[in-house]
Amino acid sequence: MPYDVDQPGSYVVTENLTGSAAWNGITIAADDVTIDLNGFALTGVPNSKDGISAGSNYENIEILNGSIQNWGDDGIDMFGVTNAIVRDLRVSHNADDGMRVGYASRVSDCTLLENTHDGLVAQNGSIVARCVARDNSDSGLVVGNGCTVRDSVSRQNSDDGIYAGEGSTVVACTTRSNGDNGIQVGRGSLVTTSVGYANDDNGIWVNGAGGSVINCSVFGNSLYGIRVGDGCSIISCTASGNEKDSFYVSNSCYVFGNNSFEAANSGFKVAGDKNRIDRNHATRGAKGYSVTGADNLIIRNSASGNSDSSYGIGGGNDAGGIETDPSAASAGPWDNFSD
Amino acid sequence: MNPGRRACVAILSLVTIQGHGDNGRIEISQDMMPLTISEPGSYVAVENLVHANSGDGITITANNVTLDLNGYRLFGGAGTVSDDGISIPYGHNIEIRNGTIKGFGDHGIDALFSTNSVFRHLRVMDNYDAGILAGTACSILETVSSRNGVRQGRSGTGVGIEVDIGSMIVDCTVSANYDHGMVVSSGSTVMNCILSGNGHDGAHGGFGTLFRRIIAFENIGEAFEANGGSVVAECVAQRNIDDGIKAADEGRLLLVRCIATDTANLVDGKGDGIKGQSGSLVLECTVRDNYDDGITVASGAFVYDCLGSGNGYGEDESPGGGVRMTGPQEGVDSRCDDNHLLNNARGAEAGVNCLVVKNSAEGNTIDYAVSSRAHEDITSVNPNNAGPWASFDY
Repeated sequence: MPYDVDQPGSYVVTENLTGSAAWNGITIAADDVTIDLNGFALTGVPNSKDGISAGSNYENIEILNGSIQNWGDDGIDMFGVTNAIVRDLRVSHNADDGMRVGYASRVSDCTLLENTHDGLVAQNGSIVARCVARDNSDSGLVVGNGCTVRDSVSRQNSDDGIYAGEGSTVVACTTRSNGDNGIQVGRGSLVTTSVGYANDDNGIWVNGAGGSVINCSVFGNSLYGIRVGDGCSIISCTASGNEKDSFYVSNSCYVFGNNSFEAANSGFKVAGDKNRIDRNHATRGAKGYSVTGADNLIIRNSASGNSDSSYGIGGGNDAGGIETDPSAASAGPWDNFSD
Repeated sequence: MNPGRRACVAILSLVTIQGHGDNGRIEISQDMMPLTISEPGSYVAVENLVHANSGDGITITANNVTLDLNGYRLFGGAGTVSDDGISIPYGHNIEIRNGTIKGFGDHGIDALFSTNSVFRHLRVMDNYDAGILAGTACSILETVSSRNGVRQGRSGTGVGIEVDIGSMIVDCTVSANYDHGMVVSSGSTVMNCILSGNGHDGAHGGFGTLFRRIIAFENIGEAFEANGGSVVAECVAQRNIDDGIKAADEGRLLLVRCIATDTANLVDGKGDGIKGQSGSLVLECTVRDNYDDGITVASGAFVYDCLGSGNGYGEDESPGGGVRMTGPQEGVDSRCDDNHLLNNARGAEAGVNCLVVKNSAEGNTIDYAVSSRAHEDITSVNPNNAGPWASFDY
C-alpha cells in the first residue's frame, strides 16, 4: 500500500490492508476493473485520502465484498466513473462521504455507517438496492435524476434519509429519525410503499411538480407527514402523529383515499389552489381539513374526533355539504361527513 | 484466494493457470483464444481475454455450461474485424457471468437461439451490433448494456438487450445504445431497470409483457411501447423525445400508478404522456407538462383516478388534453371517471358514446370538449346541487 491499478483486469485482496497518511489506499486509472476485497478490510489512518479512488472518465469498475473504513476523505470516490458497480461492502467512519459513484451505477447490499458527510452519493441513472445508511453526518442515500432507490433503510442521518432527483423512484424504503426529511424527491418522481418515521422535517416531500406518493406511511415526523408540490397525487397513504399537518398540498393536486390520524395541526392542509380532496378520512387531530387556497374541490371526505374543527374551508372553494348521517334525506352523493 | 486473479498489494503478479483449478473448474486463458466450448462444465477466465481477429471470441456449442469471466474483460479489439464476443448458436442452460464484454464487431453476446440461459453481472458495451441477444426463457440480471450499435446505419443493429419469449430482465441499466434500449418478446417480465439516452425507444415489448418499476428518461423515441395484454406498473417516463408510455396499435394495456412528464415533441408532432389506444385501463397515473395529451386513449378504454395538469400546450395543430378519448370510430365507448384535470389545453375531450363521470376540471383552456353524443353530467355548480355522476367544471 498504496496500490495503483492501471490495467483492466480482476484483482483480489489477500489480507487486511492499511493506508498511510497523504495517500489513497487503492488508486484506479483504467476501465474494466474488478476489485474483490475478498472479505478483508481496507482501513485508513489519520490524514489519509480516499480508500479507493478512480479518476474521471473511467468506466466499468466494480468493488465488492469487504469493509472500507477510517479514511481521511471518501471511502470510495468513483464520482467520475460511469457504470460503477459496488456491492456487498461495509463502508464506515470515513471523513468525507462513504462512497460516491458516477452515472448509471449500481450499488447493492451495502451498509454506510457514520461517515462524516453523505453515506452514498450516486449520479444520474443509478440503481441503489438493499442498502442501509445510518448515522452519517449529512444525508444517508443521495441519488441524482432518473435513479431508483429500493428495498433500503436510512436512519439517524443528520440530513435527509433519502434524497432523489427528478424522475426517480423510491420503492419499499424505510426512513427513521433523520435530521431533515425522511424521503425527498424531485419533479416527476414516484414514492411507493415506503415509510417516513420520526424524521425532523417532513416524512416524505415531493419537492417538485408532477410526482406521486402512493401506499406510504408517515408517522411522528416533526413537520408534515407528506408534502407535495404542484400537480402531484397522494393516493392511499396513512399519516399519524406528525407535529404539523399530516398532508400538505400545494396547487393542482389530487389527494384521495388517504387516512390521517392524530395530526397535531390539520389532517389535510390545502394551502394552494385547484386541488381535489376526495374520499379521505381525518380523525383525532386538531383540525380535519384546513383549506386556505381557492378553487379547490372538497368532496366525499370524512372527519371525526378532531379537537378544533372538522372542516375549515375558506371562501372561493367548492365543497360538498357536511353531513353527519349518510342515511339522512339531505345527504348527497358528494357530501363530506363529520361527527 | 482464486488462483487466477491478480492480488492487490499483498503482492502477486498475474498468475495464469491452464487446465483444471482446485475446484474443478476449467480455466481459460488468452492462449486458448478463440475458444470453442463443446463440453458441459464450469469454465472460469483467469486473465483478460482479447480476440481482435475475425470470428467469434468464445463459441459455446454444448448445453449446461457456466462461463465465469471472473471479473475480467473479453475484448474485441474495438470491433474492427471480430464477430460476436460470445456466440451460443445452439447451447441451452448456459450461464455467463461476472465480467465485461466490449468492443466486438458484431454482437456482445449472441444467444438468440439459446433457451433457459442466464446472463448475470455483466457489462456489455461498445459492440458494433446488439449488446445481448437472448432466446426464450432466459434471465438477464444486474447487467449493464451501453453504447452498443456503434456501427451506425446498419439495419436492425444496436439494441441494448433483446430477449425472446418468456424471459426476464431485472436490475439492468441500459443506456446510449444506437437503437432501442430493450426489445422484449411476449410473456416476459422487465423489472427495476433504468433506460436512458437510447437512440430509439427505451423499451419495446411484445404481447403480454410486464414492465414494473422502470425509469425511462431522455430516450430519443418513446419511453416504452408495450403490446396488447401487457401491464405497465409504477413506471416513470420523463423527458423522452416522443411519447412517454405508449400502447402499440392493439392497445389493451393495464397502466397503473405511472408518471409521465415533460415529453418533448421532436419526432412527429406528438408527444403524449400516456397513449393507451383501445381497450386499456389507465389507473392512478399522474401526467404533467407533456407536449400533447396527458393521457390519450381510443375506443373501449377506462381512465380512472388520474391527475393531468399542464398538458397539451405544444405547437401541434390540435391542442392536447388532460384526458383525450377520441378515435376514428363512430362509437368511442370509453369511460373517463374520477379524474382531476387542471391547466391543460383541454381538460377532458371525449368522442361518441363515451361516459364522462365524476371528473373535475379547472383552469383548462376548455375544461370539457365532449361530443354531443357522449354521456355526461357536467355541472359548474357546487357539489351540493350535483347529481351522483356529475363531472365538475368549477
